[in-house]
Amino acid sequence: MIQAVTARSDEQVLFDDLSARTDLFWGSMLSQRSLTRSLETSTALSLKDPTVRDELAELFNRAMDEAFEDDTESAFARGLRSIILTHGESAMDALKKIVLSRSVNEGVAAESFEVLGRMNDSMTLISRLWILESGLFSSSARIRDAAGLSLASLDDPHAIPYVQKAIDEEQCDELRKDLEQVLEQLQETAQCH
Amino acid sequence: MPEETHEVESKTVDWQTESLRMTAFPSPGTVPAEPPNWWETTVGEPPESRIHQPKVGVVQAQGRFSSGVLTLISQPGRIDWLLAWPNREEVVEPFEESLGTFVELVLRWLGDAPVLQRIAFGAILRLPVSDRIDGYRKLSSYLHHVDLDPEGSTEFLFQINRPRKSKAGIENLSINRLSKWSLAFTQQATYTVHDPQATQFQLTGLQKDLYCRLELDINTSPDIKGDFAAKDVRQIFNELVDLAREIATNGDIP
Repeated sequence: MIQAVTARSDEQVLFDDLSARTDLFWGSMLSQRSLTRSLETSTALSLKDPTVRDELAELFNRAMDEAFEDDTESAFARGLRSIILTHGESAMDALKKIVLSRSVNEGVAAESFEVLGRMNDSMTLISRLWILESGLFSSSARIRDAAGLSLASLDDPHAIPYVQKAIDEEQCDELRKDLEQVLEQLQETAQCH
Repeated sequence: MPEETHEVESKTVDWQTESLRMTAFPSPGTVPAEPPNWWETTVGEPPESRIHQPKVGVVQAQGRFSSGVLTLISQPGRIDWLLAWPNREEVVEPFEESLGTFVELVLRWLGDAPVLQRIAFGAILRLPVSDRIDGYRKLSSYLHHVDLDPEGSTEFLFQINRPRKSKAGIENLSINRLSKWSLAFTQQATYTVHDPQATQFQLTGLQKDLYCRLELDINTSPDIKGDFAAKDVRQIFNELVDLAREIATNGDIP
């Protein structure tokens, strides 16, 4: 019985002289965050990280019992920010799957949008924008509202065509007026740039 | 004189393809929770396996395609087509030949794709070498701005992005041209198992493959405002492939 055992493609040794190393390469030289997508310009798939997916799922589950107040930062918000700052793009990939799913709790999704809008982290900006812009087209009015408000907080003109499209499609008068204000603000910001 | 000989030699050796990737970043709100059957409409037959995770909006389909293994992954925020050749002892796919079937497949899918705001073409290529010094000499012939000392150095890794303006006629469209150059090896061990419970086995073969490794990630910049018009996407994708081909042929040039 002959069994061939080959290194899988994701386990390839990328350097030619490992004996030259004295560091724990994966643990210390590059952090998990920088490994996942080290360049803003890269489109490579981020490393699968079951830990971050589980961490986020647990955070969202715990948040179901939490009461969110307007002027107080919630434990959920602190936890979400910490996970994003620690894991970068792999956290964003996992978050997209949770927060844009049909089964997400509307209140928790809205709270998570607020965190995404307030964060100042250039590494995850593109992903945060994409989530909030997608939220504009949610079937939940509460999530659409939260997406608009958070895009106003983020104040990035990138969202202009999507806010415009959302206004065109919005059936709720009150929400449409709010989105028009967001659009006005973003257009002013664009003129300043 | 010996260095000149090496340069000519490296240009005539074809890269082999480890994997090819096309990534599409859909416009927000344009991919339905139940994505269409892109595999069937693009490949022309059902996949060998399909995994659907409706709660998180992920669909993964896989099957043999051409001489490789094709995978389609649709998840929130991105759609990836990956064509890989995992059984390298059976199939060695020259880069230029692998491009033909893959590009044709992607262009067919783009006719059916959602509205996109960013696209990418990725490739992982190999160039077999006899030893480290041979590998470094080959890498040197592609890296015109790097002074690499083949005899006196190890652990070389070079990564660079050289953005270029697109020629597709779209205002302010910039294309990132990321390339990562290194020398790598894979090791294949063969065991003879002596009993059905596999409690006793003996190492009977060890094969080490050493090669120059080139990772390419050619992608449109995320800075562009708005979405691509459907009529432009195919042209842009062809441009990304041409830029990858240029780097594999001419090396790292501005």
